[in-house]
Amino acid sequence: MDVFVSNAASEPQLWRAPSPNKIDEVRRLEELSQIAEGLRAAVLRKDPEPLLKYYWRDAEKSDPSSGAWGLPNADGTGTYESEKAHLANPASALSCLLFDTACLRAMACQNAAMIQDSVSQFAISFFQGR
Amino acid sequence: MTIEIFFQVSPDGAGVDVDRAVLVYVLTGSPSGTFSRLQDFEGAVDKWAEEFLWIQIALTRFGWRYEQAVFVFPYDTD
Repeated sequence: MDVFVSNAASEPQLWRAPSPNKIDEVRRLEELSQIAEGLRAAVLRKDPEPLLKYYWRDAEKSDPSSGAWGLPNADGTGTYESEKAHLANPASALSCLLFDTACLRAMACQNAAMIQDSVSQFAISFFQGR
Repeated sequence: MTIEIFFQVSPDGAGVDVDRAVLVYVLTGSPSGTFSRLQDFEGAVDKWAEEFLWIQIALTRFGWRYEQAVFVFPYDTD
């Protein structure tokens, strides 16, 4: 898999490299590349643990330093534990979205308004290249 | 498949700069594979899950965290 990095944008004052220090920037890119590859591999393995790594823990959300970032996960109703439970439940919408295209299609048939046709094939199919 | 990484540094609600990253997975050979700017992907949400997926994360004192959820749909982002 190739990894491309871009900070090009039409509004350079908004989009820019995170640090003037090239060494830090290279490290950051390596870290982000590993995160991206790890998440892709987790979906393909149907392994929820790596996906959970970047969810807000409930204690973190109540930390004053979290500020505006201390948001609940997903649609605002989830907690770390609830997201963990959803990922572990093959019948949950979240699990279907990430791991099971057949399940997702069945859900789409039952509730077309809930799941757009454009996402009738989702994460695992996407990463498998269909 | 390729991965493109976009950076954003912008202030949070307290005015403190926060590092964000958008990790975009793009199907090789798809029309979206020619995009070079995040705005290109944002303008092609109808290709979401067909040609590309993305994850937006922010660097917090606790490490990287999803801004909303893993592989969040574009229409959920605002």
